[in-house]
Amino acid sequence: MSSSRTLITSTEELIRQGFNAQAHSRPAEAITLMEAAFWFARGAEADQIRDTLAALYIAENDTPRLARIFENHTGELSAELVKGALALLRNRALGTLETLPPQCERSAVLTRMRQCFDVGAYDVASALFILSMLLQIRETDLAVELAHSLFDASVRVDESVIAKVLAALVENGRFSEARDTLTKAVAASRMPSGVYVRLMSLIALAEEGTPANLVPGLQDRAGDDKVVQFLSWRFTDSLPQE
Amino acid sequence: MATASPIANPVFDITCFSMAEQAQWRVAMDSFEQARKHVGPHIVVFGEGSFGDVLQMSPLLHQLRRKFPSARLSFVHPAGLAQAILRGSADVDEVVILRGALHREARLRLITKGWADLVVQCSYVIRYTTPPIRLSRLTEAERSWVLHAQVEQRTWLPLVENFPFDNDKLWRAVTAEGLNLFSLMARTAGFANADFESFQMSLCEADYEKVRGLPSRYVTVSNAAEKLPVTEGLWTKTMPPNKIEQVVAGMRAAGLSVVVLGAKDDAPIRGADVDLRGQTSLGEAGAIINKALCHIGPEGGLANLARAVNTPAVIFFGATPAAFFGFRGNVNVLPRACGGCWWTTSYYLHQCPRLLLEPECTASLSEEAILGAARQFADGRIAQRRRLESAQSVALQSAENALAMVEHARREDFGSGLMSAVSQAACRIALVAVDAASLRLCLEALPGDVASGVDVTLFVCGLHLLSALHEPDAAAVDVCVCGPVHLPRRDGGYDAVLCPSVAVPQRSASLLVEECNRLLAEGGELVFYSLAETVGQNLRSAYAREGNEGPLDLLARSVSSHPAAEGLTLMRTRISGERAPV
Repeated sequence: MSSSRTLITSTEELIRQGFNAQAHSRPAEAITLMEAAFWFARGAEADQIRDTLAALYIAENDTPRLARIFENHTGELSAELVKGALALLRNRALGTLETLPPQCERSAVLTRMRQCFDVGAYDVASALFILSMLLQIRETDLAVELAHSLFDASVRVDESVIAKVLAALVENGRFSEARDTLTKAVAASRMPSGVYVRLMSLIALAEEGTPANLVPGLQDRAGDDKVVQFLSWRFTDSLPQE
Repeated sequence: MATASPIANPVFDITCFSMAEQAQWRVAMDSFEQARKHVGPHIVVFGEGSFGDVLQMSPLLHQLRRKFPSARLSFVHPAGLAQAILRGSADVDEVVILRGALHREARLRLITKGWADLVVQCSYVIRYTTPPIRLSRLTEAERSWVLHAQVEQRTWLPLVENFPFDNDKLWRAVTAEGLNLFSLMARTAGFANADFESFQMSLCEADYEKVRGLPSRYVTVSNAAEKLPVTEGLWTKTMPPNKIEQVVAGMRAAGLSVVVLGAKDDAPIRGADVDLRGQTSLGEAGAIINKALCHIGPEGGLANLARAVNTPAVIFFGATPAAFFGFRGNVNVLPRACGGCWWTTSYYLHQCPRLLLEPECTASLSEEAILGAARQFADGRIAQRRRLESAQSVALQSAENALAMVEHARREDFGSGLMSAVSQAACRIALVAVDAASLRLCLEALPGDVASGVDVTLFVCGLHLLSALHEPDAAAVDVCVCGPVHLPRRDGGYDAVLCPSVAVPQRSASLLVEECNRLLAEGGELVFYSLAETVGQNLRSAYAREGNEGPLDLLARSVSSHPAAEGLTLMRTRISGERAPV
């Protein structure tokens, strides 16, 4: 019986097939091939494979393997490895990782992230990933700075991301900054006016410290916004019983 | 080739999709085209979501199978987990994995080409679509039934036109009518009186392997739901870590072990005895929950799984509405503040719409309420198990010669006689067939015409037994094909359970007795046949030890008239006393 498998004879072929598997949404196969290629690769080729592996591990949230990739790494973290380090910092914060690799020391990673960002090493998808990680590890200042950069570049940011940035600011009592951020976000994100009114009102509610009451007239201004309808229903009707 | 000439939608181009999706499409189209060769009608059911959604659809599949017994039934779902859930199910002929983005086009093909006689779509509201009459193989009566169901569907379909973005409007409209998700599904599917909270999922013995290494008395805990890795942030369905850890500590203080279930990316729960996150298949998780004293977790996938394996659960709610998703028999713990913002925004799951970093709903959940309910469930199940331990000795003495019993049973005609006697007092009867011999006994016990008001379910434990089951045998009863250790019906649903457990392996026998007892309503009657002479004595003395002589109605007959049936004992016992809370 003839076999359809061919013998892989070179590192280049391993890498080629690895990328092919990655392009066809077969991450497990891509990881196997890339790990095999990494074993033989040297120099710049090894760095490239390491970055690809980091991206695959991040996508799969494979924490042990992601941590292992830093073990034998010396020197500066690449832009992709910075993303990996941020993912590990996030997993550490969640409790799914007990010990961070020494190369993932928080302040060093954040400094390197800023350097990579300044030289334009990240595309929009990477920037949004980093923003999400920063919010989860409670690096509010950096997260807000990054969000503002995206708004300035007219990148359309999803309402959920804007809400997360606003929530982080509100949590820290930075209401004025929250309002500024929302105003910047509106232009970049083509946000419906009802959503803008609602978010602005929620910031005001938090500032006033009256979370269970609506700002007077919000319903009129926010139109048929579903959150406003929900809040009206929830806080005017009786609360549910256990 | 089917993909080369799209007639339904000229804009559709399968080559715009990934190679994997193109492969899925080709397999699906080939399968649908082949199904046309089937003699009977072809029904295709489309599902979405994760495994919880598949479980929610299992009663629909079961009812469709009963309604259209000669039809070929295909289930289309984007997740491979659907295959694991419907493994061995007699309700579905094939499971087709197809990405959700391709469902609409697939439905169009099925209707316009006449490859399906009924297309069923489920977005909480059930929607039936049929091809033109000239292409349909449904009978006139069946078409009339579909038309009748479509009338009810039209009432609710406007609320799911924008599915899932108007789910908030849907649930409020549904609960305002006094309905919930399950009654909505039953009603719009045309089976208004059917129980759509009885999920169907078969477990096999291999699924129980991981249970063996667990402590004898444990509760299962999870703090995640379906495909919601905590890596996306705090979820509005899950409890804050400190709260769930207090629940775990409380269960351990009550002397119970805690087993954590979930996906690999779920946050750890400190203080648990066993952590199985990311280490179980769906079947294994089902088996572990099945043997737990109770399950504690958020509304979502594992709550549905607990329901499917009939384990009582304490379910806590945050963003999702308990009035819509809550099961009867569970304890549903609601937030003391806020809650119920389900689909008010598209991101309600991972960011509180009120801009709170820690959602107020889940932060306000009462650990005491969860602990109190869980302890009550656990105490009830422990008491139930104590009663069963004595009854298990009956089934453990399995027979060596089942055929002898069948021969004797036939001559004595005690099967049908017993059935008649039972049916005088019982209107819901379960017959449990665990092997070929016991299936024969069950079939012979079936009355020719089941009296009106008597609801008989025949549990056929194993697909391999189906060949011995002929359609006329079971025309008047609800046939449920399942595994031998899991009878997928709710607790206390039957007045009598008859189980000729003559040749069951020892391990399965103990599980089987437990399952049969679980099905019994309070004061219900459990009937076993056994070949072991000492069984009656064992059971009598076991019950006497517990001071339970009064309510025990035990009948033991030794038979020696047939040489092969020497030592045959007919067991009949009434399980009485307080049942576990359901």
